[in-house]
Amino acid sequence: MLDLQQSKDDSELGDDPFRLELAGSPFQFEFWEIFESYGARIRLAAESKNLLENLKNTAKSALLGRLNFLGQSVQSFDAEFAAARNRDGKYVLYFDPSADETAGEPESTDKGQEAVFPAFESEADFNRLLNTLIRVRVGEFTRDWVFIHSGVVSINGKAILLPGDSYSGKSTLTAELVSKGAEYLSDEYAVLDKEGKVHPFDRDISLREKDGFTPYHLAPEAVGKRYGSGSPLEVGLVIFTKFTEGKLFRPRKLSLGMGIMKTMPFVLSVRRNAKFSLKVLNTTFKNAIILASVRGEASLAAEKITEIAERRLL
Amino acid sequence: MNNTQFPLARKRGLVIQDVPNEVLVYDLEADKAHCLNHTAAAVWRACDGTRTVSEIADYLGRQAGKNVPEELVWLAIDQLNENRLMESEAAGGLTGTSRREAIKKIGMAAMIALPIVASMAAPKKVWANTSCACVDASDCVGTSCPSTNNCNTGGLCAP
Repeated sequence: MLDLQQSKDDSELGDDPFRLELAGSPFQFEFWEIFESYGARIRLAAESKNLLENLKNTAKSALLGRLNFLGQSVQSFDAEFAAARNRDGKYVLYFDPSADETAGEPESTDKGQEAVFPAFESEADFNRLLNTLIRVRVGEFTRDWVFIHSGVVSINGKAILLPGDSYSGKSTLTAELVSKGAEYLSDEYAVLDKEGKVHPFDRDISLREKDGFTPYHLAPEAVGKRYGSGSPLEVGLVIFTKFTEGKLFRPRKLSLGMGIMKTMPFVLSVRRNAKFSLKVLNTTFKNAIILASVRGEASLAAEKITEIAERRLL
Repeated sequence: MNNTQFPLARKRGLVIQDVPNEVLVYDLEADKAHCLNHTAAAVWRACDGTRTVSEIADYLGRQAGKNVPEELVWLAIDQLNENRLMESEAAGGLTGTSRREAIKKIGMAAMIALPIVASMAAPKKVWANTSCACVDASDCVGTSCPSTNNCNTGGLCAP
C-alpha cells in the first residue's frame, strides 16, 4: 500500500496549490479546475498545466461532454482526482471522495474509498482508467439522478435494463439486442431522473477481444441504431443475467422487492444516498416486468428477450 | 423457545421503502439491502417491544383472520436477528434442527406464507465492481473481473 500524507485544510483550497505525498514522493498540485456533471462536483488537480488539460479532456470524453467547468470562484466539491508524473515519468493517480467537508456527509458510515493508483507506465492505461473512474465518481456523488451499472436498450418505446457487474456480458448482450432491432441507450449506465425515467448515456459500445480483456469500441450504428435524444423512457423490462458457458436463458419472474434489492449493488449512489435511490428505483420498477436467468450465447438470449419484449411491452 | 421476551425491531440506521406485499430495507451501517416478504415484514413491524412472541402471533392472527403459530413468528425473528434488523437479538429462538422442524410444522398448518428475509450487500468499492479498477489484489476479490486475485500493472483486475 502506498503512503499517503495529505495536506489540504481549508486554507489551502482555492488559489493556493496543495501538496500530497504519494508513494513517498511529494507532489505539488498547482493547477486545478472543478466541473459539475449530473449535480456532482469533481475537482481535477494536476502538477502541470498540460496534465490538467489531459484530465479535462478525459473528463469531457468520459461524460460525453455533459459537464460544465465552474471557474475558479467555486471552491466546494464532492470528490477529486489528482494526477502527477513521478521521477520515472510514470503517471500517479489519486482520488478522494470526501476531500471537501462542506460537501456533506454520506448517509453511510463507510467513507473509506480513498485510493492511490499505482504508477502507470502507459498514458493510454492512465487515461483509460481515469475515463472509467470519472464516470463512477459522478454516479456516486450525483444528487438528483441515479446511475445503475446496466446495459439499456429500448423496444416498443420502453426501456429494457440489464444490470450487472463488469465483465458479466452486459455490453455483448446489449450489442446483440441492438443488432436484432432494439434501440441503443447505453452499455454501461442506466441514468434515471427523479421521475424514474431512463436517459441515454450512449457512448460507443465497449466490447472485448477474444482474449477476454483487450477492449475495443463499436459504434452502435455499425450493428443497429441509437435511441437518440428523444424523451426519457419508462422502464418496461429489467433482466438480471450473466454469461455462464453452455447455459440456457430460462427467465423466471422476480417480485418488485426482490428486483429492487438485486439492483442495489449496481446503484452507484446507494452508499451515499440510499433513501433517494430506493425511492427512484421503486418508481422506475413499479410497472416493469423483472426477470432473472443465467445465459449462454448472447445471440440466443437476445432473441428470447426481443420476443418477450415485443409480446409484453405494448 | 423463550416466550418471556418483548422483541423490538431495529429502526435506527435503516432506510425503509414499502412496495406492494414486501418491504425493502437498506442498512446504512452494514451497507446491505434486505427484502422482507409480507409475513416477515408483518412480524418485524409487530415487534414494538410491548408484545411477547405469543402475543405477536395472536396479534398477526387477528389481523390476518387466520391461525398464526408461534413458530412462524420465531422463524421470522430468527432471520431478522441474523440480518441485524432487531434492536437486540431475541434469544431462545429456533436453531438448527428445530428450525427445520418448525418449517415442517408451520408448512402443514400454514395459511399464510413462510417469512423470508433476502439480503444483498452493496460492494465496498463501487469502482472495483463497476470498472475492474484496482489498487491491489484485495480490490478484485468477489468481482466478476478477469482475475479475482491479481491487480495488474495497468490497475485492472486481470492477469
